[in-house]
Amino acid sequence: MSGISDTERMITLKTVEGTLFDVKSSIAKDLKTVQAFIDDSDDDVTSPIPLPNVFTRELSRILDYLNNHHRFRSGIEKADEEMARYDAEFAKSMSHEELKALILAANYLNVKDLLEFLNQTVADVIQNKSVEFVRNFFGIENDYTPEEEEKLRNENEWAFNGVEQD
Amino acid sequence: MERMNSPLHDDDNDYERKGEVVTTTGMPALMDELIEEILLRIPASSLVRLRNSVCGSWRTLISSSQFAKDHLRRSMAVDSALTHPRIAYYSSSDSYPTIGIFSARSVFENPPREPTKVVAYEGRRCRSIIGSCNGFLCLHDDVLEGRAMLWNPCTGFTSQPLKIGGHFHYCGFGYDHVNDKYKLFGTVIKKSGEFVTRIFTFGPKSKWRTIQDFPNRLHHPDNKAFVVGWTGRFVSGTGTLNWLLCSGLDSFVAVLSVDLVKETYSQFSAPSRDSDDDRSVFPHLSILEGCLAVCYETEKTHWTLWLLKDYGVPQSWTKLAIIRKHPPLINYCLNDVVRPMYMLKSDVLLAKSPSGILILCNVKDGTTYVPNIDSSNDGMTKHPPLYRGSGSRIFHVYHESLVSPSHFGLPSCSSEMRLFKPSL
Repeated sequence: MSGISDTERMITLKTVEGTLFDVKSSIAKDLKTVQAFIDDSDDDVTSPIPLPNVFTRELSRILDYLNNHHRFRSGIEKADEEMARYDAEFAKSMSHEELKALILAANYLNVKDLLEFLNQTVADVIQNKSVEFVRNFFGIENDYTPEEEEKLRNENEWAFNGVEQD
Repeated sequence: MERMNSPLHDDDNDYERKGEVVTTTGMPALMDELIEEILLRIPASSLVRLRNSVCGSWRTLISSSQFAKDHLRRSMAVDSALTHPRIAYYSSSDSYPTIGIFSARSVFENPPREPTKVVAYEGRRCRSIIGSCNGFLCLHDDVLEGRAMLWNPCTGFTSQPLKIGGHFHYCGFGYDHVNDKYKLFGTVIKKSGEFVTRIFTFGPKSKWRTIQDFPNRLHHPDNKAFVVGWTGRFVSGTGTLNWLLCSGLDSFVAVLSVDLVKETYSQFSAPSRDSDDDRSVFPHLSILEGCLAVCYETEKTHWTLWLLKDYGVPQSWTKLAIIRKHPPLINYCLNDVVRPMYMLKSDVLLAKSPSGILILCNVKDGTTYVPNIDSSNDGMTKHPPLYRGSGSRIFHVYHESLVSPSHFGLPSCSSEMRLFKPSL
């Protein structure tokens, strides 16, 4: 293995379904969970690293995101606009269920920037939506009794007082 | 968020808890820590709407003191514009004024989609706003024994009105970040004629502490410097209230500050005025982008705006902008500086012109324009509408937060401040 520089080394990752992904070690660095495993290993990691919590669909999206962001960052100036456009398309391309699944995967793999972006995306989606929508999105059950709901609705009247949204 | 040390050798328990929680619909559910991270990125006003309605655990989380602090810290650190800065104003010539509030950011839209609307509130116990901090406005009623009340316009909660005393001369409202306490600073003249300086700490055992006299006439070689303005400016994260010290005889300018944590005073220099400048036009101290900013009149043709990038470090005074005097800024020949209020991204400044009109100045190209603010519902019928002048309106900028009086031991009331409905 001597003579091969760090950035050229490939790491192989295996998803739940058994699909193998070859990933450049420079990209693997952004998967902090994977990087920690590599750092903790005494010898060079040669066999595929199993990711028992990550499905192919999610890993594929995460690697797509990271590869593109690496490309934008290393390239010429105008990348900021392109990156913003890519991010917007990336977010739009997923259903709510896919978004949540991706957050879980990004959280497990500890991909900081992507997780930050996904959290903000969800925050932007739900902030002006109805309570029903929010409950549906997170799969939350309404645990208030009708009396409690009535009491809280009155307490909360202020929130609907019409201070203008930005 | 907890990270596992050897994540690829999951314990079964961890695996179940972190990866496989399933909801009633059978789809993957986000764990509490992840939901919290998302909620921290939602504006306070939306969280107020969701707080009581979604479910019990969201209500507990969003109402909690720790969440409010995390939310505030995060939004101020990332981009204070995310805190949805608002401007609250009252009229100092009305006996029980309404308080008008409008969104600072919507004012900057150019051209605006629609006028920025002012929403007004009224309360029994409010004749003035002393200051703002962490989403609270400190309201004061100086009649008789005098009452103060903390009001968070975003959540609607106030503290009860607290007996605090009547007429203050120098005063200010701020936050002691070391002891996690909100404090009011005020100098009063007692019935004996004695001048006393005190700090009032808001809390279950709220009371005044007398401190060393406010040095409004000292700290200048010839003892001829004086403090400009009554209200101290609070700089977030420093625990200080600040005033300008000026000399009538030379170009000396300094910042006088009281440290609410240590209850001590200090002073540091500010850029001197030019020797030719008219010394009767006092510079103006304000807070822009979280920092102290001083605006001077320079050579009768323009104003110079300086920003103190590092608090307390005079070398970090940086010239931010030069604003040329031209209409609509100088419609009246009033001898005053333009008073900055809020700056968006170091490009555009919202300020009050010497004639009392709110204006937007683009500091890069020098263009100015009058924002479209509809103040018709603000209840200040004896005053001109905002686009024509301020009258005796006094403005305060605040940032939306979820902080509540109940987070520091004072019961929260929801009925002291009400939406003002103008009679038709």
